[in-house]
Formats: sequence, C-alpha cells, structure tokens
Amino acid sequence: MLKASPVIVGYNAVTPYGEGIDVCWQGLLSNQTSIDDIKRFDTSHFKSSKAATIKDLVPGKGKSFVFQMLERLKKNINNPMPEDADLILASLNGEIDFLEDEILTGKKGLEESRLGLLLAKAHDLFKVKGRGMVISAACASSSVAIARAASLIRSKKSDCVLVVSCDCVSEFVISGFSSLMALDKQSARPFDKNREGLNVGEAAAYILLMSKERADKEKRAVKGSISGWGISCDANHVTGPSIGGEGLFLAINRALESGGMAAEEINSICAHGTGTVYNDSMEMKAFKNIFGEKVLPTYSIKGGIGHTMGSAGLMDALVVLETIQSNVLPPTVGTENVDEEAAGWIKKEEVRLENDVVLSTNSGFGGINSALIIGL
Amino acid sequence: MISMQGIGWITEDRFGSIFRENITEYTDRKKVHSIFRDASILLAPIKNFGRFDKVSRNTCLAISLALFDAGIDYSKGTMQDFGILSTDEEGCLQSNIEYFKDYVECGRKLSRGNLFVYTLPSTPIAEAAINFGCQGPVLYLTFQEDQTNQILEQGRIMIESKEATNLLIVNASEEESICFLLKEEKGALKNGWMDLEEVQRAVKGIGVLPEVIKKILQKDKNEVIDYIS
Repeated sequence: MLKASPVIVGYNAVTPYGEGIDVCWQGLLSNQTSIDDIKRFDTSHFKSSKAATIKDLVPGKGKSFVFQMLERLKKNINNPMPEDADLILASLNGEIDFLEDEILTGKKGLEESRLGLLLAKAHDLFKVKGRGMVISAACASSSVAIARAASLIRSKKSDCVLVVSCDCVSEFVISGFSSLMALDKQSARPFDKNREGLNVGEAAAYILLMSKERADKEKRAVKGSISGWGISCDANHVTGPSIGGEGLFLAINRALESGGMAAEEINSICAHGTGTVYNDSMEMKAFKNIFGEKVLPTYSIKGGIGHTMGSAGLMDALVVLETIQSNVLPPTVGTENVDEEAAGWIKKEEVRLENDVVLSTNSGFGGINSALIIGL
Repeated sequence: MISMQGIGWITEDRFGSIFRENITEYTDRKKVHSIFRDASILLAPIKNFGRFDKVSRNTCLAISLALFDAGIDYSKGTMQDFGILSTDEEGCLQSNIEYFKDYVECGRKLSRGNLFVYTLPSTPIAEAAINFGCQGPVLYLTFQEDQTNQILEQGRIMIESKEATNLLIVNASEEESICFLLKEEKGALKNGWMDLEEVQRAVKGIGVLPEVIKKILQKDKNEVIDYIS
C-alpha cells in the first residue's frame, strides 16, 4: 500500500553548467560535459587534471567557495521560503578552503572549516529559523539528508524541511582521490567498458519538502514526492563497494518497503554511476537482482557535472524531477561504449517514456548506500 | 517503547559498561585493545586498529562496550541488522589537518590515501560497521546544540518508523566516547534496561561529552539502587 509521501514544493541548483536546474538539465540533454581542466591549483602531480567547476568563484576575500555557491543558490530560490522550515545541510568537506589557507599561508581558518559553523551560516543565509542538523554519509550524504527530511515529515516531527547541499573542488579533495587512483584522466565515462574512474565536480542545491497537508494549505505547486527511502551499509570495505552489490540491494529493498511499493512500479533509474570500475559494476548487479529480467532505462549524470560529492544525491534527485516533468531521460554523458554488464540499461541518447516513479541510488566510502523512490 | 539495552563509554583513563556496572581503570592507551580482548569485551580483534585515527578507535571501543553491556555476541564476517549513528562537536577536523599538513610537507606532490579516508566524518562509523558487521543505516549527524539528546531523538524516529531495527548511537571525540544501544521493546523493560526517554532526560542540555558520561554514570547508580531495592 502506498504510504503518505512528503511532497516537493521547491528546488534549484548551481552547477558547473550554470545557475539554475534548467541550465543543468539543458546541459545534460545537449550530451556535452562541463568537465574541464582545473585552473584553481596546480594539478601536474595528480592522476587527472579534470574536474567540473563553477565559473568565477573567487578564492580568498573571506568567503569560502561553498559559501559563494550558496549565495548564488540563494539568488536562485524561486519559491517563498518558510521561516519555520527545519534545515538539513549535507556536505562532506564544507568550507575546506579555509583549512587549506591556514595550512598553506598561516591565515587563520582551521576552526572556520567546521561543518557546524557552515550550518549556522546557512540558517542566516536562507533565513530559516527551524531546527538544524548537518548530515554526512560520504557520497550518499544528500540523498540520506532527503531521506531524513522525508522521515521527519512522515513521522509528523516536522511539516517543512529545507535540505541544502554543497561541496567544492579543492586541492584537498583532488589530491586525495588522486592518491586513491580513483580519477579518470579524461572526462568520466559511467558504465563505459573503458571507464577509468571519476571526476570531481561541485554543486550547491536545495530541495524544499512539505507535508501534503501544509502544501495544500499554502497552495504550493507540488513538483513531486519522496515515496520511499532506504539506507544500508555494505560493512565490507572503507573505500571499495561490496562487489556483489548486496548493500545497495538492501537499501533499494528498504526503499520499496518504506514506500509500500513493488519493484515493478519503477519506471527508470538514476544511478550513482561514478565511472569507477567497481561502483558501476556493483550497481548493475544490485539492479539486476532487484528487477530480475526487467531492463529499466538507466542513466548517470556524473559524466556531465562530475561527482559532486555531498551534493551528488540531491543533484540526482533534482534531475529525476526534471525527467518526471518532461518524460525524458537524459543521455549518460561521456559514455561511448556501454559495458556489456550494462547493455540495454544505459542509454547514450535521451529516452522518452512515461516516467512517474523513479529509483535514485547513491553509494559512498565506507559502503554507505542510499535509495530514494521519487514520484509525482 | 524504545529501550536502551547497553551503554558503553571510554575516557582517557577509564572505561565501563552501565548495566554490567563495570568501571575499569587503565594507564596505557596502547594496551586498550588487548585489555578488551582479554576481558572478552572484544570478541574478535579489530582489523587495522593501529592504523585507525583516534576517533575511529574510540568509536569502535565504545561500540564494543555497548554490545558487551547488552550481552550481544557477534563474530567476524557475520552481518547484523544494526545501524550506527554518530555525532561530535568537531567532525573530522583533526584528521583533515593531519591529512593536508602531511600532503603539504610532502611538497604538494603526493598525499596519503590512508590519511585521506579519515577526512570524512562518517569514516569512524564505517570502520565500526565493517568490524561489527552492521548493515543498517550508517550516518553522521551534528547539531547546533544538545548533540547527544538530539541524536538519540533521531534514533528514536528511525526505529519507530522502521527505518532501522537496532541502532548503535555514538558520541565520540579523540579523548572520550559513549555508545548507546537502542532497540524496540514490545514487552516490559528487563535487567535494568532504561527507557530511551529516561536517558534523554538525563542528557538533555548537556553539550560536553565528559559531562554526558558523568551524568549517565550518576543516572546508572540511581537506577541500579532502585533496581536492587
């Protein structure tokens, strides 16, 4: 039985394609990547010099990269923001450039890089006065944040939650992924048989969730709903996923159960699809275990905007909402030769279909998996 | 009703488990792992324990104490339906500093992957999930105030709404940590277990971890006296 679903009444994003989810959506449909050479710092010693960055962010001057991204996001809020909204902030590294600055130049900033301080800034910036929390669950952070927001609303602990996510491309992050040999020298090629790794990207995004009752009362236009959610852990390895996809399988099953839904009701999948050999293979195994013989149109947006880390799940969710409204799935940007394992599932071109129930998945370091079911 | 069936804690010179009424003093931090093994608090060695950062070590130790307190057995390679939530004041600030300083000292050419993995606030609980085979939800949360009480509340919501069956809730720092084991209990509380609400009342408004541990210990003593009498 379908359970009462929290509804989505507002969303937007700032991405390397530009400001606004519509710009990002058009960028993905154009099948052109926004991944390019990094100009922010020297990359000559790293495995890759590629990332998807937002143009014209200015280093220094007291404002971190993510705060500048959040300021741009604020300008792109296209709905009245309820003052009493609870706030969940999802991020991995937050204002990490403050920490870099202190270590590189001695300019005070270590303490400033704490996520708790960024939460307080986000409260002020978005002018919301509800309770606040930061969620960090590796690269599943913002989908886990959406799940928590939906849970607070379904359990009637809140009737309005704003989820905001942000992370930036930094020397800190690129050097780390490079040391783990996780980067692709070219632009990321999710589910491609020649894929070599991910490219880091940056984005700030928000989604505003409400109870259906409150949305109706305030005459808010409903743009979608979070029908089900599930979170699991592989309990297997601190950086690599469980090869058989057992953890993701669990998360998807929990999401279906949470929504009172059957796998047959899902129309399409927005996969995490990082472009690493193990992630993409693990996801396909999990999908096949869930859906059996049924082949579902599946895509990843990471060849377009890179892996936006703490924002990845929220960016996926926003693109899913665009697919639901347009009945179009974007191509998997960057993919040329679909891996045999993903044949039939991953499309290189856009797909038109009736699309009102979508599965969106994310997985991160530590084997953390999340699954969201997003519907009309 | 959500019941608290195990509470484990560790400071720089003592560790204990509430319902078993154990408080043990120790002097050498390096020997804690073997002390735990000898006392059967750790049922299996923690792989790579020596390479963990301090928060990950404290997280795993507090979890082992909470499981021990609740009398829950586990074995290497066996998965359990437990989730882990964690909170703290700092996130992974110290690990971030350690990683980036090391990278800069190496001439900004090479960085260490084994330090980079601890630059996520969720890594300590991921390490614990691997060690204890926890396949439930694993996530890090931090709040502007009242950390312990608020994370316990999130645990309550997750269990009541069937998002998790059992939860280990950890507040850890480099110096101390405490872990609460939460389960849904349909019948009456037994063996001195506490009602979650009772624990939440005890820790409400206490922001500093050593004070939380102190308060829980005081609470426990009263509980034990009541229970025995």
